[in-house]
Amino acid sequence: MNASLPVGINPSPKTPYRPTQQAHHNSPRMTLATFAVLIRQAFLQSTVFRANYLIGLLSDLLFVYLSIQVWTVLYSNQILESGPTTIQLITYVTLARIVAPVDMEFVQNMQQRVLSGEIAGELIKPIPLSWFLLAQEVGRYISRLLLRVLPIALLVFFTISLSVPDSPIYILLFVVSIILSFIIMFSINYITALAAFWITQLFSINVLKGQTVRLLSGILVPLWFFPAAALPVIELLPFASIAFVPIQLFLEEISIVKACYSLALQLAWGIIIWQIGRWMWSRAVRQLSINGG
Amino acid sequence: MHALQLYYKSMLLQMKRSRQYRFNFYMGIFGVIILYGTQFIALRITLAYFGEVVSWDMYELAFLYGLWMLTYGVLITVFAGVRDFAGFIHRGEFDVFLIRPHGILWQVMCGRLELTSWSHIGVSTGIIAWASMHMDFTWSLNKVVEFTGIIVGGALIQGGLLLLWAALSFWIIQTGNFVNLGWTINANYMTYPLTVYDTGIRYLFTLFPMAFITYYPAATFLGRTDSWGYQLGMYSPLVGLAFFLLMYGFWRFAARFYQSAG
Repeated sequence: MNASLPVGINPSPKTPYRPTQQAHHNSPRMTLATFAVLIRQAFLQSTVFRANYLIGLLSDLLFVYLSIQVWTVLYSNQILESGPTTIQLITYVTLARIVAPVDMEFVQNMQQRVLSGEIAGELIKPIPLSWFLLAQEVGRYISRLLLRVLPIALLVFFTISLSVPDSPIYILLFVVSIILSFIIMFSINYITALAAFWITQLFSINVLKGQTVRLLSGILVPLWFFPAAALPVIELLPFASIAFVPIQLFLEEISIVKACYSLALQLAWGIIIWQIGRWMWSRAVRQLSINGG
Repeated sequence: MHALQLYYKSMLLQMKRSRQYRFNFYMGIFGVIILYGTQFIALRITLAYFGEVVSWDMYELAFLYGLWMLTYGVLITVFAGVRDFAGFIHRGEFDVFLIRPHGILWQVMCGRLELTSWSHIGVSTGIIAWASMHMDFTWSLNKVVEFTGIIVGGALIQGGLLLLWAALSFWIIQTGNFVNLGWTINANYMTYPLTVYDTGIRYLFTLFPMAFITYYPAATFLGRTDSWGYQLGMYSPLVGLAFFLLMYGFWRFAARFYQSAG
């Protein structure tokens, strides 16, 4: 298994490995192959702690089960002409609980690395930090989709019931939306992590991020049940596209035109937040001072 | 006596530290308020839409939420060390506890005082006061005594939970997931009346007594005689004590399996 290859070594046999002199040049060598290796490493790493994985899976399963019960009971007293069906609600609650990676692992690590000065090492690596972290998180996200979301969704599908899209267009739109949702979520986490350059405790900022996302993306409460006056504003914010938009596409609840509009909005937010992250990074590096060494 | 002195001294040290890092201290309080405030807003949005949950209205649910937050706040003031217990084992610091001439649990408790928990207590007291203003009962002496019993019982159950996770950390490396599991169940699911769940889940959280933190005592306290198993609420202080002692015993037992990382 070449998963233990040190980072930065080009695994492709066709292009020979060049000594690190090039690494100090300002054009970073971020080939697709490097990216793939990083993704693979993160994926394999996330499967190492079996017990941890199992606990996480069982917890999520319990949360999904409890959520389904709460929401079906709440919804059973409600007579609505235009609202979602019970099965759609069950699908929503199940996916909302598991699909979006709200808290990413690197945020807390970042604080440690800034405080200890290890972050200096990142500045001389041949790959920009943001891409390195992105690759890692892609790996973890793939493992999450395969090993957590899929088993739980299948289990709910066979034991309770789940509404599944049958139009290929919606499936495609859902996939695109999930990717954009991941990019937005990564960028928000990246910005949060970069706050470590200015403050010494990320706990509160991280909580603020997590809870804002959970509330305004419709993870805690589906956005259908928000006050009608607040909805137009909430739908414009980047958070709605983290959970509400992809799940609505999965439920085939919005028209194709509206879906395209939502995806365009998602893309715009993705780019904006990513750019904010880049800008913060350049500021952070400029004001960084590391003792010793 | 000496133990109390020790605790007092460690408390002074922690206070001094929080005064050194004043910004972090206020940020911590801000974080706690955001964390619980958002959960509460979510509850309010839900209730504003649906009106009630299995005939429990907004104020009764707010009372449930306040109970969970208050018991957790009271407990975490002294038990933050137990919450972060897995860290002691990772870093190999548990060895130090074993060679010092004091009870291990006491040392763990002295090691960390969570001063930000004053925000838990403050916010939850506010929520309970607000809720009780909208419900028809008066705070008589009887009620105050009963309420104190509920809080003590709930806090002991919360403590038992944290001891259980701490005990498991002797075998499992990462117990952060467990702490998270307990917290999420409390914050997201036990703040609804137990009657929204099916019978299996009701028995599960009765035997594993998480429903004794909020649902049962609230059903008794608010006189909801129509609620499933409301009489059980009377026993919540006893259940709390029993659960705490049981988990303390288990934790002591688990500590025998400790193998130093060093």
